[in-house]
Amino acid sequence: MITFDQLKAGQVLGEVILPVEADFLRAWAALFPGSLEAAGEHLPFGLVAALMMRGYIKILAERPSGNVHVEQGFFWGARVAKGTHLVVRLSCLRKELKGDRRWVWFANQLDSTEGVFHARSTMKFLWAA
Amino acid sequence: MTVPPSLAVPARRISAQDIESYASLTGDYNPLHLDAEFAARTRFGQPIVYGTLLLAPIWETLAREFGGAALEGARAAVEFKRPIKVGSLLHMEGVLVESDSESTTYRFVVNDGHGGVAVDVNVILAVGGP
Repeated sequence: MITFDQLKAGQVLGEVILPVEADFLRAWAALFPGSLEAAGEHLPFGLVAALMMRGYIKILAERPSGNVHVEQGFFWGARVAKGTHLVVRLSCLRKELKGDRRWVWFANQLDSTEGVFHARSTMKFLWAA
Repeated sequence: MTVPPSLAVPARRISAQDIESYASLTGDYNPLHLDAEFAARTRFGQPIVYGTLLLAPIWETLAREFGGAALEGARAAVEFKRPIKVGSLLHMEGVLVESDSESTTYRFVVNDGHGGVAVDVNVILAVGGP
């Protein structure tokens, strides 16, 4: 399990290539009917945000139970065309201990495997351990 | 670009099935969202909705109103202020904050079902109004 003490400001935590498979698209369409069609040849932004979370979860697989997500920032780049191969890169921006509360900030960037910038996200968590 | 003074986001009830579906999409099986017994031992008392799941209807609304290209270059600041219990009926609305020739800002609020603000989202589109 990755604890607060193990995380370091500025630390590159890893990257992962994210396939967008037919099952994933079907599951999204069931959750948000019509959204894939509305986005045309691109992926819906909500789906892209879910992919970025998937990247974070895969890279930081051994998280403590009960972390709380309290803030998020987005900067959207080029829309993601359906069929694009994507890579997520995750780093720890900073951390702060306030009383008994462990705050951690991460940066999460989504690019195509060809190097096109699609999105950057920052996330602030109350870390559970 | 025409900038309406407000943007309606369709109301939606987030079910336990929705939470399970989103967990499988993201791979995030945090018991705070899925395990009633675990959540009961926390300050939230019962399972809560994933924050990023709440944002999807906002992105959809903006893309529908202005076209997906209008979100390219957009920035958003999101504050998850209060938890939303699984099963809650969500009401969201976007209000125009300002718009000039270069950018347009909307503030979206997700209500917690009890008159409070659960999620506060400020979106700055890199496209201007008329």
